[in-house]
Amino acid sequence: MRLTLLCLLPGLFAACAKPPIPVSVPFIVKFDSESLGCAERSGDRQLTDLRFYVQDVQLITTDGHAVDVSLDPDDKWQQRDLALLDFENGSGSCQNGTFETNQNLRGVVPDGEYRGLSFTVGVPFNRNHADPLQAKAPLGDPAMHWHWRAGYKFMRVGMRTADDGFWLHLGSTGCEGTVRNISACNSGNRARVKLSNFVLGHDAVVIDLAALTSGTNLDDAIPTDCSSGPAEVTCAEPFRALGLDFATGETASEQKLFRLEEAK
Amino acid sequence: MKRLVILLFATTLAIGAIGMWWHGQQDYQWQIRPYAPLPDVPVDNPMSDIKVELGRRLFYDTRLSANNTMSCASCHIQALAFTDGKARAVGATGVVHPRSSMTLVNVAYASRLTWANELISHLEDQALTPLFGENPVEMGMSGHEEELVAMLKRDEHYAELLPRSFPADEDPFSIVNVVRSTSAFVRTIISFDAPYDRYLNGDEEALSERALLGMELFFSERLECFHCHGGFNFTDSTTHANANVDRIGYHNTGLYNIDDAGAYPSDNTGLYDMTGQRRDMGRFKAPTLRNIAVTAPYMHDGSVLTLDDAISHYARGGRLLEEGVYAGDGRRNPFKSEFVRGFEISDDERQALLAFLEALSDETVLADPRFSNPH
Repeated sequence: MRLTLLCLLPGLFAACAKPPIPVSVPFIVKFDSESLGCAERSGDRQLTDLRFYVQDVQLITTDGHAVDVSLDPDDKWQQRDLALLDFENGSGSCQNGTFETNQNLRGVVPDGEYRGLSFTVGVPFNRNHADPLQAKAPLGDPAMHWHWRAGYKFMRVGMRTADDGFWLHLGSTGCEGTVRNISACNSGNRARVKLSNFVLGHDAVVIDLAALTSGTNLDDAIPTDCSSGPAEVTCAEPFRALGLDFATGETASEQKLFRLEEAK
Repeated sequence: MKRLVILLFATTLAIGAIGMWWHGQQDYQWQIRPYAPLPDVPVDNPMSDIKVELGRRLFYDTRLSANNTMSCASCHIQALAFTDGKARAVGATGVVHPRSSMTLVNVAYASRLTWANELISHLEDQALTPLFGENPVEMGMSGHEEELVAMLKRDEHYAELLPRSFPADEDPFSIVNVVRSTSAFVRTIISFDAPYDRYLNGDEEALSERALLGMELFFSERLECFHCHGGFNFTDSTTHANANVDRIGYHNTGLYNIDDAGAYPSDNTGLYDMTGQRRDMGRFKAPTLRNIAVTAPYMHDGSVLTLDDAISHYARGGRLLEEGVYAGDGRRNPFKSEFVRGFEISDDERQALLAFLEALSDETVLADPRFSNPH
């Protein structure tokens, strides 16, 4: 009854005409063209961890408008505008993680024609700096909170080879204030990702760790560790792969970490 | 000199009077001198005897580390004023921390926690880092949260103490309550019974002539010690229940100057590591000097072995490292504190200053059974 009345209002016809369409965006992990996981090696490369938050997921209409994807809140992985993607299962080469994984985004968009996907690797500012011990899922996992930086690890990536390793913790740095009362951060370090050819139902998003580590020597027996620290030179290349300006923490160039591939 | 002592005494009396008024507001009797201010306690974690008892058990429980090898007390040993005697702390999996374990004595009065992190002002927030931190691993509990909660439910003491400590909680068996109770316990580790305190309290015999001369030197403009190590807790990063100003101090003391442009070792750049601002290079918190005689080695990285060496460092106005990867003249560090200017000091004066620093050791807190291992 109420819906019918609303539909009489001009401008809302389109929304009423057709129900929203379900969205499922699958993500897969690769190193170049090879699958990588806690049980799947690529050469001597092994995944040890891969978890990250995405916020502000949008699909792009064929005429170029960005439309918010409303994620299905599930009290576990997703809030309406925030999700945790988790590719480690706490076994094989991945230790100290969680058994369960979450490898796709689930939600709805208004009916329409779409081509293109965008999202941000990050956690919205207010929730990023709220009390982690009172946080709602998916923000309640202490492994994802960066206690001494007073915010979340937006992304944690771990990889190792026979005698080398790579470790990335991405999060906001140079923050001012105190825990639960952060006013601003010099470097937000939220990476905006645009994949303009994404076709819903056809494409999967590939997280290509070869692109993330292309500027890093994985065979020099010197493990590379980037904790987003403003003084860490090891962060320059991974940040470039994320499209982030290391000095400002803003998205400044095209990212290389995510690409598209036909979903299986 | 006498005026200074009277002034100190009057100030602490005034603060204490307000403190006494506040005393009854909580279900916990602070056993501290009436002239001492009460610590600031977060409203969402009020003190109680039962919670402190619970926190003490947790503090000494090795099941709070992933491989059951270390407890909080592994790096915070009571006899060493809750430090560990090491230059740099070592975590449960053997990873060496870039920094030295800090004392927990009077940490309830710290306005900021750890050596160089402006973001952390409450123990409840700080406790998460040693428990769950991964770089470096300290207790290594990241990914073991469910095991920890299961252990709390299984243990007969925790099964009883947690519900009693947090009676309003539907489910008291939580990490947040581990953090709250250990913080409550650590807040009770308070020291105001050093010879210096007894002297302030009217016992004129408590300090030797030599220590009295040392006190005069300590509070002199010539040596400048008190600018950073001032106040009732001998650090400028101090707060308490009635404080209305956020007092925080971070100082580059000229320990290093690797590139002659001010650089500190890259794993230990101090506040710079957090802010990325060049001016913050090498800035670390001035730790309390209470019990300093039992907390060697000194500085954030334990690179100064004795109190005598520490005095030499400040007398020179910065440390000269003639060789090695960290070679450089810290005296010329461009980011050095204005208070580290160097000074002349005779052997007698040096001995006097050492005697005063030793008079800040509180044998009571180092042996008080209320802070000892209950297991």
